[in-house]
Amino acid sequence: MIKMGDDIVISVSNLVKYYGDFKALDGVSFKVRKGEIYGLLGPNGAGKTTTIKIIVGILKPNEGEVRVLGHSPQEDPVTVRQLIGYVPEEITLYESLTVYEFFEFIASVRGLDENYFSWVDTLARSFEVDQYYETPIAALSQGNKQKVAIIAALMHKPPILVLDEPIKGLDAKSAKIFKELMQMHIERGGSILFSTHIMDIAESICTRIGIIHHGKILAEGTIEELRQMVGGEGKESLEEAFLILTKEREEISHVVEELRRVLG
Amino acid sequence: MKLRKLWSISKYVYREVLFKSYIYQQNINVSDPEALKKALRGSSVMFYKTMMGIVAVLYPISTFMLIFAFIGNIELEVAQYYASVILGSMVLMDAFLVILLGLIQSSIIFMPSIYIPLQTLNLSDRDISIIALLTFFRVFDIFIVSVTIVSSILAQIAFRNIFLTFLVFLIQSLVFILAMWFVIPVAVRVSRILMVPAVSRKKVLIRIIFYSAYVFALSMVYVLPSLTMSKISENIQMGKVSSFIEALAIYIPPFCSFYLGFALIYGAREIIYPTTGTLFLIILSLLGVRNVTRTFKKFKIEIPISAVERKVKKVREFKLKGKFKALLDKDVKLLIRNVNYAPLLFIGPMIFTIYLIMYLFGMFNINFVINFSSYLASLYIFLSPALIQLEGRYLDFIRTLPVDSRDFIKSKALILTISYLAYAIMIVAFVLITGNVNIFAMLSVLNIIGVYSGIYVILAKVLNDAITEEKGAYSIINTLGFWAYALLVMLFYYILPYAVLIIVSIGGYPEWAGIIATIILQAIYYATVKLKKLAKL
Repeated sequence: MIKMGDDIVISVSNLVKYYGDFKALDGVSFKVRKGEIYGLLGPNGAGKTTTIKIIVGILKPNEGEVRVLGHSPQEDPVTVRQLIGYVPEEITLYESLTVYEFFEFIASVRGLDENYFSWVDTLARSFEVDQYYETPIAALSQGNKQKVAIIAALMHKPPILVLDEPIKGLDAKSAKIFKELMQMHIERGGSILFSTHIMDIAESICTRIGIIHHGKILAEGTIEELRQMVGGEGKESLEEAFLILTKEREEISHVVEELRRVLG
Repeated sequence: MKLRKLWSISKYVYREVLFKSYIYQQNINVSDPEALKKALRGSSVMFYKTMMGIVAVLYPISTFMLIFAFIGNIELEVAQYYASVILGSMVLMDAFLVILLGLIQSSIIFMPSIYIPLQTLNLSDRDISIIALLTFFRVFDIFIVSVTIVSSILAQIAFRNIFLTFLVFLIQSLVFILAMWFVIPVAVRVSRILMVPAVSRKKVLIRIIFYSAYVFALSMVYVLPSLTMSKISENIQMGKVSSFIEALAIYIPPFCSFYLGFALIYGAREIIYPTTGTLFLIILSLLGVRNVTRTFKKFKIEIPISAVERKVKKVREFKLKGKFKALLDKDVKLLIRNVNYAPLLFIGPMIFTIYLIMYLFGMFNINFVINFSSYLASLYIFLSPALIQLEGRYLDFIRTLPVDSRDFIKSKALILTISYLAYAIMIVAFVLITGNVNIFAMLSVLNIIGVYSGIYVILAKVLNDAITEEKGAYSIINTLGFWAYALLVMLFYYILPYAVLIIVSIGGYPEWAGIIATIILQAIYYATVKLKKLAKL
């Protein structure tokens, strides 16, 4: 049993997950503290989404344990989901409901009262989705669907946000608003687990970063700590540090060379 | 671009149409790799066309075997009626299959998203509309060609008359044109619904009327030929042609066209009505050809502007509900707005209406209608997994919300039970009005907890397997083990009460004993629901 320290909100310990014979996670461990934005950084297929799905209770690990404010997502999923606001990577909303009906459904299931209405309304206006209240979600653009998913995750003011590539598909204005919202969430004592493969975003918003590759956490720390780990002069960008840690830098130069040769 | 080149491009479009229609019909979770593999196999053009080809060959063979069996030893004048009706039934049944098998695929053909990859290529709008038309033909090609050839060959073997063979070929082709024409407006409408579901009450009401009319029309295309076969059998036993068969053969296309053919060769009293009916069929088919080509000439790749309505509504108007009611409300909306699944809501009352019409026309006896309730209850058992399938790709989403598994299942089981209850109430009203009250008729209502429990248990099985095995509903439902389980549920929850009543009836026990036994069974059924363990969502 993992003991939760005062400031630990999510504790992930030795997660192992198989899909058939494929080992998607190979002993993933990390902790997210209160008031921080923890970035889970990794290339496509590294195991970010699998880790997040285990944390929110959609998948069960073959080994290992997760605790969210002391609760197990596998044993007590309903409580964990009340504590978490989750934006999935693949947006699957009820497409035949209108935006309004969808918010109404989420608010009802989450047991919200009238006190939350102005918050939901403000969120909808901030992301400019209030004009689509009567529109079925199926008719929205991908970016607007993403906004609806974000509002649904923030609606109940959860202490923890679990965000899987949340900025993908957002326009510049909405992305900026969303980053500000994340900052406000942290200032109010909330915590965020943030997954991305876009280095610039991770560099600009994350307090600490865990680099995941082939189902393992390769390195963990602040951006400064990661730069020091790669043994550079401390001036490397996060992208460079990431490529060194995942041993992908050499591979890239080979690929580029091959492309130049074939292109002529 | 040359037609040959466009035909070859339409092959890729058709492949996509088949895959999309499969994914849509099965509501496959695209993040379920196993389900996707099955979908790829199931939507293989070769596999699908082979299956269509087999159906297309077997059906005319079985029909002509009936012709040989029925009319071998009957005098010619009577045989003309029977042969006309059997051939007309075959043609209508083929039309029914064309509509049924082609509708969803045709609907996807009318979805602009299918052609977006083509817009990046060097193809004109006209090229794309021709590709759409050729893809539409690909939906039906093997089936229509196989049926037409096989039935023409069989007609030649059966009648040894080239005129009659040509007639079979001609009428079959005309009816296929009509069937394809019938598919188009429905497919266009369905494609719009697939793109943007209707949400306003008025639109939903219109859609219910549309569903009802469509299901009713399609059911009649199916019921009429099935019914004529049983009527012919009765007629032969009685040794006379009933007025129903005679009217079909002389007045109703396409039956009358075959009668006209026999009349012209062998001589018959009546040819004016069949000639008029056949001319009507030919004119209608020509109109069909014109309309099919016109539809594709006007075909344009554009998403309807009305899809996105911008209208601000203040959130303070939110009507908050309890968790269970919110789930129930959501499930009803998802069901009613999904073209594939919406008929589940009306299937009981719809089937009852059709059989009632048959009863009123003297085609079915009252016992058949009453006993049908047990079949219908079983049907609900086998259809209930569709409600989890409807959730399909959203199952992961609902698992991010604080929802209890029991509420999740209860809401779906309740919807189907209410749909069944509508049927049960209709049947009870029917027996009360006709004065045929008996314990078997009352069982449809008496066993309502059994119906609910059976549906609940099946849904629980799908959900438990989906969660523990981390598979989509589609992967679970498509296993032999699951269907064996469903069969056991059907025997225990729906057949057992009938078996008990039969024992009571045969053993000469009083009816109240049957009623008490049924009530005790309801208590047992309810206990199985309460005791059923559910995996956490």
